[in-house]
Amino acid sequence: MVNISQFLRRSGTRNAIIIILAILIIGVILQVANESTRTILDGILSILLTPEFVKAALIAATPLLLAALGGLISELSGVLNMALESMMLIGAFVAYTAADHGGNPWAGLLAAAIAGMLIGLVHAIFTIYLRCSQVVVAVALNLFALASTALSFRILYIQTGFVSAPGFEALRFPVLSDLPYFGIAFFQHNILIYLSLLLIPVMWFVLYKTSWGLTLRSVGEHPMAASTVGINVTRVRYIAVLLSGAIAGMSGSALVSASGINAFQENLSAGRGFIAFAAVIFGRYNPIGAFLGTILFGLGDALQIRLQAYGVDVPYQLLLMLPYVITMIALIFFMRNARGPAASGTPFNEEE
Amino acid sequence: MGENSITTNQYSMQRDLPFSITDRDVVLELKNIVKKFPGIIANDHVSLKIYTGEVHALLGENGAGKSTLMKVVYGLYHKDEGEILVRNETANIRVPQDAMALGIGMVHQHFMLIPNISVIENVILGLKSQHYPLLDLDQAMKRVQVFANDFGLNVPLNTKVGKLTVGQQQKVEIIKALYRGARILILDEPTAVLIPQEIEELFKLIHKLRDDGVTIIFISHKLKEVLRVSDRVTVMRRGNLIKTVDTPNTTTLDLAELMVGKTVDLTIAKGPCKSGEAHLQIKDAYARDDQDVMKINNFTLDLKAGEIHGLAGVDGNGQQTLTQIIMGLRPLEKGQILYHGKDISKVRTFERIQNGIEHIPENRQTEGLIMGMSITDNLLLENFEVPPYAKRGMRQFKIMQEHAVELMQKFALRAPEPGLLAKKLSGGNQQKVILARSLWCNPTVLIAMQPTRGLDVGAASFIHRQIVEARDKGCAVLIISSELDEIMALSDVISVIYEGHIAETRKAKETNLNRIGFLMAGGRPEEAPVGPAEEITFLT
Amino acid sequence: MSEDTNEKLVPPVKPKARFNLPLASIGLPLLSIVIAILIGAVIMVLMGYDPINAYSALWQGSFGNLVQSSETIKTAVPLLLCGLGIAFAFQSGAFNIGAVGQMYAGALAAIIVAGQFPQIPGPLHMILATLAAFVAGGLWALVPALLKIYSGSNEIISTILLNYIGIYLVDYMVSGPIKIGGHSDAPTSFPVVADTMYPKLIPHTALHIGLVIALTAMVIVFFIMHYTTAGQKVRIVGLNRVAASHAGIRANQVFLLAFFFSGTLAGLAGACEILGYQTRLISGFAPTTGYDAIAVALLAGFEPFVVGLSALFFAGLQTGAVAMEAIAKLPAQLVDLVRVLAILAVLAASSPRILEIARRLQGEDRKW
Repeated sequence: MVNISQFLRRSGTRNAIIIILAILIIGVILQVANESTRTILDGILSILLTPEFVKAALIAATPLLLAALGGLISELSGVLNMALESMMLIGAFVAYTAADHGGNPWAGLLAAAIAGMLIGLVHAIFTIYLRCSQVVVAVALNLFALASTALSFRILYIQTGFVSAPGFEALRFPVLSDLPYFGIAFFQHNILIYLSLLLIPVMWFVLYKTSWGLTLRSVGEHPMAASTVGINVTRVRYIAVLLSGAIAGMSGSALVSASGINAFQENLSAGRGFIAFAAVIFGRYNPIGAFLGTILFGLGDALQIRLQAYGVDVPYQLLLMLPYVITMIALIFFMRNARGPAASGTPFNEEE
Repeated sequence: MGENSITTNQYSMQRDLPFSITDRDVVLELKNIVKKFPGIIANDHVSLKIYTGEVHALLGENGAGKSTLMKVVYGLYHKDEGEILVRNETANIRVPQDAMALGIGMVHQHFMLIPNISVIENVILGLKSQHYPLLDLDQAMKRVQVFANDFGLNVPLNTKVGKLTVGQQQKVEIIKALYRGARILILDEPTAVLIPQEIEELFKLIHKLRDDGVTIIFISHKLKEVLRVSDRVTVMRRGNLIKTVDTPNTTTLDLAELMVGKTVDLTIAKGPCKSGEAHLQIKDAYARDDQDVMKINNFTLDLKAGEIHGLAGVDGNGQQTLTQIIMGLRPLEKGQILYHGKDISKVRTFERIQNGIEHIPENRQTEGLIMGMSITDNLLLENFEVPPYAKRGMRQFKIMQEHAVELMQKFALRAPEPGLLAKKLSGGNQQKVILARSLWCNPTVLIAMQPTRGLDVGAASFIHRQIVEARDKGCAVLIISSELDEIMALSDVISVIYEGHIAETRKAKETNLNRIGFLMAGGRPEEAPVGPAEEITFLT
Repeated sequence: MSEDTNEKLVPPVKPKARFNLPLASIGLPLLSIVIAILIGAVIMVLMGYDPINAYSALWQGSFGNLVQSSETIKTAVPLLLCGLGIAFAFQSGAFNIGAVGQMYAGALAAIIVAGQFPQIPGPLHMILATLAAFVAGGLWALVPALLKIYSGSNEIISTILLNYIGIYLVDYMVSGPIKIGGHSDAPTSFPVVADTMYPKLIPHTALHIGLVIALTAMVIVFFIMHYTTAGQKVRIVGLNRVAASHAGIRANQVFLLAFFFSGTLAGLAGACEILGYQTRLISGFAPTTGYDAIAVALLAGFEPFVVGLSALFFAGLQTGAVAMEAIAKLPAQLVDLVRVLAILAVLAASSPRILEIARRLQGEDRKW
């Protein structure tokens, strides 16, 4: 690793300057591609100031957040979970179908959790028991998810076309929902979003204030040390991956909910599982960081949709690229010092 | 030896043990323990009795089976045959928890500590607090603090373990075992990572524990230490228990013979040093490591032809960075490296190797060999692109094979064929591959890092002979080792490295272990102890 | 004083002929395919279908006659090219998940060059377009590789992100700057100039000289990997980067080049699709080829010639599935199931745990 990384490492303010520069450059490029009289700057400013934007950002961030939190559990135990994308996609499909047939969104949520857990089980068997490469298994699972959901969707819904499944209703709070700005931005979401946000402090508490959390972290850092004090590393990792699958599966349900029409379509996740995976890394492997990371993309996602609606005449594909470009930039500048659990990615071989 | 007194609750223990301890009881008995690994019998019908409150050393060279034996006792390995009795009752130990329940604790050679979490969290790892599942750090802190005070561990208990010195980490490991109620404490090669002053502290600690009734089993391959700290010594060799002796009644020579099985010449045959011009000179060098810490700090060193230059120092004082800058794996921030007078700071690693600068890396499996490739490929790792082994990019397999066979013969590398994968070789043979690769074209400079780490006496002395031979052919050798005995025995000149610069350089005859240890710990040369050079004996 | 010399060294053995691939290379994938087919048959029976009927329909559809066979081979070509690239990158220790983006970049370059400049003479034009695709694919792969080296970014994430960016980029270009005049259902680009199209190998079939390109690439990759110092370097870096640099190899450079080369192959696949088959760039023209190629490479154990067989297998499943649905009335997704089963079987069979058990059973575990 040469000059650039050294240069970046040594100055936090330089990092900040570079990021601002990058944002400006993107803005300029978009403006050049903009063919309407309304400028990008107008667009961004007027969008940023509206409470609907914050609301949309939270909605967009929730699936990412759930996936990232799920991924975090697995990562902390030392099992790289790059199969988040498959869990999210399959979870979404299952959530949609179950909600549709079951008549209520909770059925969808539960089914998604179970589906995600099953994927996690397959992942665990291949990576923990068979000790296959964690990356390769994740890639295989992702391929499987893409193909199977696309085809199953076609099979099941080819005649009916897609319908909206029952979704989570938006909640209303007595006074809070009517507040001028904050009401719309924060207090009109559905319960899934609130539960997801609640998961952050809950997870933080469990990870750092309970012995389960300590056990989990130790298994990811130094499985040998954990095993010599009597911790069953294999069991801890299995549980972590299953739990991770369940939560990531639920992120699929959030994804369906976030689509606005409570429906599934082919490749609904479009790489968001990988963005969530990346968010865990730049978030420095803790729940708060994961939240901040996913909020960033939620903002980008929401921004991009609204810019299209605003009337800025930029080819929509360029706007669609925005979340991915932002992720790439974050990757470049933030990944350098992210130190993951020391045993991440390596299979644990009990002696003998 | 101190009195074997009955201990009261001197140390707060996790639980009270349901028995009483009296003098000279057999606290641990092993009967005919057999432990096999594929292709090797690590413990061959070993029977042993350990008494309460003694410091019992298990002595043997690398690979003798002493570590394995204790891992069986601790439940990390399953015995194939035999019986373990703890306090005269048969014990069924299948996992470390069983051992811990019986009061057996183990401090491993490579610490089983998690660097990223705090001292207190490491100590209580895996234990259920009163408010399970909540962590109850405050309660635990009180009890651990008592231990910490007793052992001179003066760091806040919520410091991350990774920030402690090696000696402090070792204390944490010991506290960890005692906190779980260990009355039998197994220490596996505890001095391997310590500087002389820390070793002194450890010995004092061991005797203190013994005086309080804790039984200590001290695994080591170092004769002198064993003689100093133990009450009795059991010597093992190739999986067999050879003999148990009382320490006051034995000598290093006796023990050495028991260890190796024949009369042993403890000195290294070395002719006089005929040093010549400086092949390699490092002048006022500064270099940073991956974490941006300035690891090499105003460093100056000359490596002269025909001279073995030993570099003593605690691990982590810049030795790795030094090797990297010499080999071109890391750039210099300031300063120069001169090879025959020419500045090579910008020369690529490949060129340096081709021009006669070779090295034996610290970690043979991760830095020196490609485990998944054959002996042939490993022997040619540096030269596979160079004629005659390759012509215009095409590999010449026949010539490669012949080369491998020749080297295997010359360096006594016993293996069925050169196509054998490196991962199937023993440590000694693996090191020989690296050695053969480095020495066969008579290098001008050889940097040897920990050349005999983990090897048995046979392999180690072979390596030493080869190094001396290279030096006699005019090579400038730099030995970087944490085995001070090895440095003292092999070197013509000894330098001490501390925090990235040279504390002192002296001819081997003009310095001694005490002085070196003092300087290694950061003492100033003016204040360092002087004295005659000791009689240097070396055995692994 | 010397060590015990009980064992004599074996006298020099003639170097093994390198042509015969170790049995395991072909055996393992074949075994996995067989297992997958069998499990697929069991599932068919459980679902009430006749597996023999289904598989024979599958065969009919994939290799039954000349037209179908050429269709299958034509489908196999991009899979083979991308798969080779992925296999090569893997040997250097890199996971190239970005074949989709690299292929799209190659296709874009190909159409831009081949769809314009009619004044350039035919054969030269065709070669230039192919070259453009080659380079474009390589450059698209270079970005994540550079990022990995200079900033430590995980190349898996960056290649996947670039896949999406590539897809959107093509979509944009094809809806805008290189759009064909008039209306069309899906966003389509202008067509290639007629004489840049790859000539057909067999007239009136889909088979074009892309096959020759792919087969040549296969031989070249095999040769590089097993006979040249370059291939040796790549494998050393892939097995142990640290030891490689200690031995003087510039691991970063090797990694970059391997990744670049891997991208160029995917770019070529893009050229084959555009110049050989589709003759115009349509948005979403090869949505999963790059990902399927990963499965192809996995199944083949990353061995060049076996990648060819594996690509043929996958292509056969794809073309045969349509026939299977039509003739045997089986939902085509069962074919995907067979595919996935084959991959899982390979993963399991080559997993460290199974290998260890196999070694133990053979009693082969002593150390020298």
